[in-house]
Amino acid sequence: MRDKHARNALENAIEQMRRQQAEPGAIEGAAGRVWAKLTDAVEAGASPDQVDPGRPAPAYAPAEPATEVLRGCSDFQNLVPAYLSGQLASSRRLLFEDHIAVCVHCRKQLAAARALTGPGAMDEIARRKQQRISQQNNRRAGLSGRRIPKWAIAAVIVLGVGLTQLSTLRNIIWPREVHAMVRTVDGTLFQIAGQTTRSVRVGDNIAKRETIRTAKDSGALIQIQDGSQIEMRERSELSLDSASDGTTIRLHRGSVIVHAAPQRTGHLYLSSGDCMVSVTGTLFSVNRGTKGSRVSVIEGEVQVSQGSKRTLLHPGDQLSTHPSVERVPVEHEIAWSRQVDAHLVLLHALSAAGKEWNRVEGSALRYRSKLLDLCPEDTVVYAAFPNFSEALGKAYEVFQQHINQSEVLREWWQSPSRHSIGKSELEEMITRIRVFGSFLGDEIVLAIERDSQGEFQAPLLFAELRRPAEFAAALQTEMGRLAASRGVSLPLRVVTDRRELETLSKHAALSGGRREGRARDELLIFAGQDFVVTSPSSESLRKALVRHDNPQASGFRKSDFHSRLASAYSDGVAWLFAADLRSLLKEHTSADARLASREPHRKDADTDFLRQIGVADMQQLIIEQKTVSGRSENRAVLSFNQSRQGIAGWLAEPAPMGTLDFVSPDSPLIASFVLKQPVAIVDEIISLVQKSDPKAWHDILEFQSQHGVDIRSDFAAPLGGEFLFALDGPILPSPSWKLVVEVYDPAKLQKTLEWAVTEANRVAAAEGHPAGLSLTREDLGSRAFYKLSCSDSPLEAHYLFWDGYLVAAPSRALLLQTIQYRESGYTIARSPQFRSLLPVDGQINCSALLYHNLVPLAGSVASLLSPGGAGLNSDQAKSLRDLAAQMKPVLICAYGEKDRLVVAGGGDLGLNLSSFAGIESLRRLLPGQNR
Amino acid sequence: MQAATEKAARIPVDSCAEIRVTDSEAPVPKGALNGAGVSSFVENLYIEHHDLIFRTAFRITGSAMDAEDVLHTVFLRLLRKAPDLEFLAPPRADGRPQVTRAYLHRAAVNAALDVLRKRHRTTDLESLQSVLEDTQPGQENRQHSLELSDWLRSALGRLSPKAAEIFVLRFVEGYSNAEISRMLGASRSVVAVILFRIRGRLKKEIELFLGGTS
Repeated sequence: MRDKHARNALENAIEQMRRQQAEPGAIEGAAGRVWAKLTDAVEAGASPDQVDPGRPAPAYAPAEPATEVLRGCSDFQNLVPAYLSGQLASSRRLLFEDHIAVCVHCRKQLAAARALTGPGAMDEIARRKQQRISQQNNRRAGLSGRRIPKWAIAAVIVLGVGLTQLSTLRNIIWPREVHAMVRTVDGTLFQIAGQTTRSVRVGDNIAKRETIRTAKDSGALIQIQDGSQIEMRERSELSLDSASDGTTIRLHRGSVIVHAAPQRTGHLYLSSGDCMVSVTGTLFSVNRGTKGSRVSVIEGEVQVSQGSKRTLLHPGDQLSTHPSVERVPVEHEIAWSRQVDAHLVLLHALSAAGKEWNRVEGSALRYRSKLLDLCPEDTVVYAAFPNFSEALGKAYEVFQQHINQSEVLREWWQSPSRHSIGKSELEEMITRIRVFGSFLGDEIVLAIERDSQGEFQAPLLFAELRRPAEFAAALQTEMGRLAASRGVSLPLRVVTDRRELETLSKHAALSGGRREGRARDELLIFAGQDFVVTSPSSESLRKALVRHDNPQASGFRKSDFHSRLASAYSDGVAWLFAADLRSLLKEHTSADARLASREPHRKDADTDFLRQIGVADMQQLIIEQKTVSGRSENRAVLSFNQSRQGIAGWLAEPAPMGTLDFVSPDSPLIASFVLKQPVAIVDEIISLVQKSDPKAWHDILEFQSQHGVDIRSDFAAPLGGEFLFALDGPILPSPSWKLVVEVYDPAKLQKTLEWAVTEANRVAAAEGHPAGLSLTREDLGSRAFYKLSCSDSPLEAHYLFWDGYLVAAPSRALLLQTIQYRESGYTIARSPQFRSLLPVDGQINCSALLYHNLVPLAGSVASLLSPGGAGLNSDQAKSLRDLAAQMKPVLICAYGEKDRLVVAGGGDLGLNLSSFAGIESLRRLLPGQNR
Repeated sequence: MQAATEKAARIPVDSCAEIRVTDSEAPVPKGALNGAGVSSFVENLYIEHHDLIFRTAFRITGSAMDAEDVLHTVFLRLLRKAPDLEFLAPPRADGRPQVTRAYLHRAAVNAALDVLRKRHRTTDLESLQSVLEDTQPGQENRQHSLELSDWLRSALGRLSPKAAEIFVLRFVEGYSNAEISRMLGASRSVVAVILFRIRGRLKKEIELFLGGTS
């Protein structure tokens, strides 16, 4: 009965539903509106997420009619800053969060933005996400089940290591041993491992990766092999591990104060999970708890890395890894230590000294130079560097003052373990540099002259002199002292008298013209009234003296090179190297004059060739390095005497690079450039070939007529000016390269490519080979994909024309991904990390750029290397990950201005002190050098 | 063991060919409407079938506004798929695009069911639940406020997508079991079994809904 009732009710419900009829008027009205919306969506090329009427439809309920419409991923990405700062209206916020939940690219952008602005924990999240994504990419590439060829791993490792640290390679091959001993235990110290807990006594050794923990109300002092000491607070847990160039203390939880012994070459690291501290010899404390970690510095300099962020801390400084962990006075942080008093005094003394030291350091930019006028007329190379002895001396003075004021500091300074070189030696060295530096002016200049015969003269070294009489005397005394103490007499001769110099010069002239006999073996130092100049040649010194007496008459003042240098000074100079290429090249041609007189046409051809390739127009090369507002700038300028021509003229003036839109922020290597006119370049090459090798030109013409092709109009004419090559995606088993070329006439270029393949096959067939190359077209909807493959090689290339570019990659999946990057705006040009590397200057675009960031690459390789797999053990894999963490991305930009080429680099150009340290540790491996 | 049985029971439904246009992140390709061929093709489809889609959606959702959304969604998804429109078979010799019509009809049913499911998620679940599960007497007042068709809509929103689709195609849109089995690529017996199960479940639910007022 009940069943029947239910059945009837269900039938009724269905019937009600079926009978529901829409009114014809309503249908037509709705149809019109929907069609209009569809047309809009298509015209905007919008991602349909936000016009999808699944969510509140904007057309019916225009909640925010005044605000702009969100049309695609890029619009959502523009909201990221507002979202992070909490300024987004609640409705927008809802939309944003909804979109972020479904869109991977936008989520990544959000994570990246967070990593840049937010606390370190976010860095970690972003890094892990990136790692996971690269893992997924690799898995997608079919790597998971396959054994990776060892050579491939080796190649990647060598590539990475070669660019940064050799010591890591050493550590991968021969893992470092770690020894530590318990010095004191106050209370109980446990060694824990899984189910066993063992109490550790004074004098016990602690092996690598053994976890030790202090009980409540206990403390312990651990000493590591290099002499560093770790003081552990109660309820603290740590283990020791080897690092690429030293030892790593892994702090699992609790507080420690680390007194790092001076490291000869490597570093001592402390890892607290959310940050990595690296030091070379300091006193610092780390407190790791539930909310995060806090690093406080008592003495020395400490570098803290959180993800990609690096911070340098000085005495009294503190850093916490999470915003919920607030700063506390360093005194409080170390109050538990048994040596708290000593630490405290040291802390105060050093943080005060450090602040003054910072004020002293850094050499100021120089805006004028008297020394410039002293250079010989035919100076071709000019180098200027600051006299940093004064800064060094001042710093040392400040430091000594503090040492004298503070007993603790004095004790610390005089402790024998402090210095690897003897303390007295250091003091003596600094004193001597300071003494001699104090006689000199702000700047030291080196000039090399090339005379009219094309011969290089001995270099001249100039400096202004502040106290000439004392300088000469000090120099004499020093020489005497050295001769007495070491038994060596320096080949130096100090001349203070002008007549003496003239006599020497005359003698030199008599004793064999330009060859200066005895004088050649001796370095002459002339100390004048206000300047000092050094050279092996007495004649050069004499001439410099003449120029000094009458600077207006100096021929150098009239030269272009001089005026270029003067303009460099007007912008401020710290370190500068300049070469007058025009004179160098002129000398080159006149040095061939003898040859040229015999073969005049040949000489003409040579000059023509140089002019053609644009070398003849080169004027000066100036390389500068200076620090402006805390940022180091490297800059090289190559200038020309007219607008750039020949090869030098190929690079276009700075222009927007649309090619960068096809590359994801994870790309490890990018080379991109903009050319002026591909056709003009071909024209230039043709005319070059025509002139230099008429026969080759004839061959080319014959080739063109034989195959019915015109290189100029068929290959070059369809091209735009932008080119890009990048690695982007998994690197194993085959690298995911991509090539992006701007194309103005895709149809023509495609025809040319098809022709090229046919011709290649025809030629091969004529020579009896089977047709090897094949170019096939596959249409996927409206997209036409082309595949170029070769029958005897597994390699193939896919390409398609998209938005005015030819995009080529080794697989179609990669092509689709590349296009998606462009559509979603998930590109390198928008990546905060990339942008932070761009050099600071007036340019908004650049003509060429080279970027490398091996961090994700090494990270993905490291993540592939499971312990035991691929022949690497866990230590080695870890070393590789360490290596990845230590790498820094590099970006070099070039600007093709009208009459000069400028190359500028942000960041340090891949060279840092630790890379030298790496070489040092390799050296120690040599037999007999070990420890 | 139990998992295996469950899986076996699910196989027939899952093996139905997935014809629904899946959501992709891909934006509407530029020129999807301007490109030769596609433009007129989609436009013709729209002119010919918007009426069918709207009416179907209206029947299922019971709201003109939702029906308009469904119409929009169906064509937006179609445009997203524009490059791959080959999957829509060309019209037959007699000029009637039979397959296309069935495809769009199904797309409309599915999009409309999506709306029901979303509505089910967003309605005040608590009140609805109390309406559906409260078997205490004194139901009549509430019962009157909720039309039977509205109840059916919310019930469909709670069914699995595939089951709801089959049910609507069969009982609301009037396709035969054979036609449905052809459309979904499933055997007729599977369709019949699914329909039987759904009816059984809905009957139980309506019983609870009516709360023994008989």
